[in-house]
Amino acid sequence: MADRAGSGTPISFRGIEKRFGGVSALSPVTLDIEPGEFLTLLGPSGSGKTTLLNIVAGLVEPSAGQLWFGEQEVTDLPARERGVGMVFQNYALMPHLSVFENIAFPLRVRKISRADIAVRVKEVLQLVGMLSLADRRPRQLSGGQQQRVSIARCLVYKPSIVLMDEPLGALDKKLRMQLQLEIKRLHEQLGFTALYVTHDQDEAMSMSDRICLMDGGRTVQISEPTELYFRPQSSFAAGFLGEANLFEATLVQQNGHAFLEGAGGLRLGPAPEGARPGSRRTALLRPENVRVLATDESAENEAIGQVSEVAFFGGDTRLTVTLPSGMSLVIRGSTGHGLVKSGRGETLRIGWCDSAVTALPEQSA
Amino acid sequence: MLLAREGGTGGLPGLAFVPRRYRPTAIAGLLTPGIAVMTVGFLTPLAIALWTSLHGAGGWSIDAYMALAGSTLFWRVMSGTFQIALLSSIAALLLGYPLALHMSQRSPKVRRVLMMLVLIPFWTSILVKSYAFIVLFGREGLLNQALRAWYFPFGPLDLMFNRTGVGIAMAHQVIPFVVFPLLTSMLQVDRNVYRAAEIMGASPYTIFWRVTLPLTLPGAAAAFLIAFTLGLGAYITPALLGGRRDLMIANLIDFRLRETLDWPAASAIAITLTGLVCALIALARRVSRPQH
Ligand SMILES: Nc1ncnc2c1ncn2[C@@H]1O[C@H](COP(=O)(O)OP(=O)(O)OP(=O)(O)O)[C@@H](O)[C@H]1O
Ligand SMILES: [Mg+2]
Repeated sequence: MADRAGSGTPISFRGIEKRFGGVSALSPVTLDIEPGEFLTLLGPSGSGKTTLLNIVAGLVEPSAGQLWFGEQEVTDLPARERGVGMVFQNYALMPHLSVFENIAFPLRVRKISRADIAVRVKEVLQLVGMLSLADRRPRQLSGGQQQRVSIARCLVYKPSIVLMDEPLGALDKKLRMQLQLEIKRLHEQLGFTALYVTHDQDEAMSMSDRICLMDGGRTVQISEPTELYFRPQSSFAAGFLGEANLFEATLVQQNGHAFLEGAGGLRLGPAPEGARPGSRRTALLRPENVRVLATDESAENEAIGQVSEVAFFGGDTRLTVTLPSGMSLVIRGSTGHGLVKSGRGETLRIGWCDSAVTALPEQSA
Repeated sequence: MLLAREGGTGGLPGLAFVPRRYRPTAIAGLLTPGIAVMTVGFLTPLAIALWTSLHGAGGWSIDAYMALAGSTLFWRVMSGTFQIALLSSIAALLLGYPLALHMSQRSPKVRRVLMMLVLIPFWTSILVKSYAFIVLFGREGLLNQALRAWYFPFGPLDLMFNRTGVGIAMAHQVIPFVVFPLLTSMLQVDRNVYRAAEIMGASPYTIFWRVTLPLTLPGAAAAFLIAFTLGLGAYITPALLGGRRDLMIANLIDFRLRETLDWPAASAIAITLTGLVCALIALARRVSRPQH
């Protein structure tokens, strides 16, 4: 059994496909995960995240394609010989064993001596801050504590690949944030390759080196979080991460100047390089990049609209503004920067700079 | 445009809606029919038996019990009954456990079919099954004929009208009662626990001994208890398939009632048996309290 301690093992999907019966759950996926990388599979329910993860674990057999761990092809290797670690959403602890025995289980399977087991279990318990609860049964622990135990159980045999399927899905917001940081810390400290599943975009963006966005069994885009957020390759990607104002825009040439024009002659921003005049593109404008303009202010792109909705989120306020063309535009910004004073029905001047607008690639428009 | 963050298909365990409390009047209403049936059909006859056992020809006495304590026949029958019940329930458990395990690992659809197959003998009259056993295992039965055809040197085997016959038939009789509690306890184990064990490197053999068996032990204990209690009270099977000297307790009661017309003695045996079974159940509940 592989015990690749130290650094992570690269994972390579080469045309991995999965069909259940006749129904396709994964279209061919080709993806290379770097050693020690933290890669998150993000996507709506049913997009194939769990299926892809289970293929790496060896719990699901791919219908086609190859899976490689570094130099070794593991497509047909049984799960128990792959030496990966896995953390489940519902913890999957053994209810009849104490915390200590749960964590000792993978070591006993590996026929490690009693003395070594005691030392290593204590070590990981310390790592996840659960040393004092070693004698408890899983049912005597809170959800967060159980997940810590299951993370410890997964790390105790030093797997070089760790798979996590929505490990924080059953926990409340505050605990999630806390455990996100801890998982991140453990990843940096231990250097394993992490393949993480979530459908929480904030979690994906704050934890990952790269995000693999999935939809309908297909990988939609694989990029770093900032890239995915600011330079989405499709309107699906733009809409899935954060809020997005998407405009159907036409490329207009005027006075030797090319720009994107939305409905009602609205100037959205400069035209992307190399685009043909008259071509149609989808333009993305993030709500936090739109400002409400004071009477003496101006911006590179401006519009006038009527406030149709105000939502207050403490530090943030979100306005929905109806433009003369009938289109709604969402603005989001810090409360107190002119946003909270706006009431429904009020007419506002809003603006944004040229760099705030991204034209999505043509094929996705 | 904000796409909804949808909930996973994984789901949380145990979120089925279970009302925390019914109103007391509703509980009373639901319990009344059951209690009425038990009172008329079980408690009243039991009370009459208790009264009869303590009420000899000359008024109140514990003579019937004293006579039992001194009766070698009673003790022989009692120990024989316990032995047969024990052997047949162990046999049923050993046969039922792999069956239940197999059923628990099939798809729900296949499992339903298998459940029907387990239940068919349960719905068949004991009489019919007993004669079927004679056809199969009797001196001139199918098994012995087959053995003779294969020149089996130790035939014919005496498998009917003795303790072996009673054991075989009773084990067969209680298998459904063993399979269902076992199956229930096996299906309660979270599938991800098995997957986790597999990923951690455990072989199917290790998973069975370290995970499946410990987690299903309470179910096995319950199954054994049901089989054993049913075995203690067996009546028709030993009467049809047992030897003359293989009386079981229930047959002894019948013998006292109908042959010697000694009702206090019959009642005393019945009360003793009932008391023993109750004590056993109480003990077993104490020992096999579920661990999770
Ligand atoms: N064992 C199975 N048999 C048949 N279809 C399956 C099976 N497992 C998954 N599927 C299908 O494959 C598709 C992908 O499922 P998967 O569980 O990978 O989605 P997911 O992205 O993990 O979703 P979620 O966020 O809800 O967990 C779904 O359409 C699902 O119905
Ligand atoms: Mg899933």
